[in-house]
Amino acid sequence: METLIGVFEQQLGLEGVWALSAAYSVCIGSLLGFITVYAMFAIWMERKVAAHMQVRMGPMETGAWHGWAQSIADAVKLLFKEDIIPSQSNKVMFWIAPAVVFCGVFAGFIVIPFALGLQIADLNLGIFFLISIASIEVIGVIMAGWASNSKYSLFGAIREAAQVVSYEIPTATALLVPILVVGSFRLDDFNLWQEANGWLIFHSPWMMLAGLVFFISSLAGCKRAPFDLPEAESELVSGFHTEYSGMRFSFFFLEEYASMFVASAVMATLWFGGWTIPFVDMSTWTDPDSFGLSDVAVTSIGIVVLLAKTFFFIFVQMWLRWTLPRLRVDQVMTLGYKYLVPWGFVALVMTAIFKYYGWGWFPN
Amino acid sequence: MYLDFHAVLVFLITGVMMVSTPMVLGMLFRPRNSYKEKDMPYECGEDPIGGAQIRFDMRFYTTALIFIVFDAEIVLIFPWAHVFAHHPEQGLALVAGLVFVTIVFFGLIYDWAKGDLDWVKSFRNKRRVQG
Repeated sequence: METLIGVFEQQLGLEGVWALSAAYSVCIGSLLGFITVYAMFAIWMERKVAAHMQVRMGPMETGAWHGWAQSIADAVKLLFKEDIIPSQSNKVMFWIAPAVVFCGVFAGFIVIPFALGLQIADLNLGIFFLISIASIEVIGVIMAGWASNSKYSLFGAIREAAQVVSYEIPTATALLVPILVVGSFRLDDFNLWQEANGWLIFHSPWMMLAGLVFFISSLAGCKRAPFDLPEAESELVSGFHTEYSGMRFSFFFLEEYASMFVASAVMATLWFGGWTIPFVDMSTWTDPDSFGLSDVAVTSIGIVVLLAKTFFFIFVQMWLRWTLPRLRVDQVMTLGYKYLVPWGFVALVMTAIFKYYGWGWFPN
Repeated sequence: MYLDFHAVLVFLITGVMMVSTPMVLGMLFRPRNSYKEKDMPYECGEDPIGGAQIRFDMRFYTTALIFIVFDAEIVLIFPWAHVFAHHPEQGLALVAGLVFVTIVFFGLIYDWAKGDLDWVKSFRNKRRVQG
């Protein structure tokens, strides 16, 4: 962001507020474009993965080549759909619920470092910010469920609220473990540390445990299977967005895929090195002596590496959906409070002790 | 620094705008022919009996209460983790952190023993009283 403002000020001669607004426009435009394209791709990918796991073909007709245009066709169709607002609903809350749900996840994107220095806001409280902004979503979901004035919506919303809220505790505990080793809340500091030392997941067994706890609880936080009981089709129709149609429904969908991306990107950044490649020091690539690449080229490589890791975790989330059956509500609570929270605390305490004695599989 | 949190506000507003713009644009070409049956809450074709904004299960409140307590405690561990990571040689800091985590953990054990973590509450404790 600061770099972009600098570019606008020096290259184009814009001043103060104008440079700031130009930089914001570029950031907002690129992020909106990225989220839209990503969500369409992810929905197509999900349908393809689901189909191939069940020995089907999935969408094949739209756009000739393996149905690549299916999501675009769906989006256009949703735009032309009638906007049904139930007569007994609380209109205002019904209207703003999708916006509340979406803007939390959208703001979460700004701290993800896609490459060295390539993040919209370089917050020094990055992880803390992510945890807090992700919980806004729950408020929107409760608003949607309550305002719909439908029994399925209400049950879906309170189930989701209970689930997301209880899995926030293991998520936060697991996120504390890398902080304890690296000593920073800035997400880019984790990348730099891992470029110098190696992936954090191989730091100690407790770090692996924390990574596992985080992955499971982020699945629950994104309401992905096997934790998709807030929108369990066979019992709750589709949970809190039963009454939503057309574009409003599509924003709930977009939010789900966007939060999958954020969770996977955080997993890739904190435990699997982010945009760094193992055993490679990318900062030397710009030297004329080694490869002599331009900054833009190195940045693009960083983006590709991070996206590859992120899409791997998104693929794992889709894979799990077709592997594990849905949990019951009491099993969800048991897993959260009786397994993940204690194991998260164990990982935290053991990492603190390892840190004190300087143990670990590689020096810290 | 302040610029960064500036960005958070800008992006929250943009998020709201991104949702509202297609809604307003869609008004131009989406149909609007509603009738009484269509605007009823969906209940698998049955006529809904009563409203849906009813009192719901007590256990959700218990879950929310447990969450608030633990979340507040974990927020308090965050600064400790940051400071301890920079001064790992300080034994006292380690002990202080461990004591705090132990207290939180005892809270969890207490909830567990009271049966508040069980979704289907067991009547084990009550039976014990009855002998």
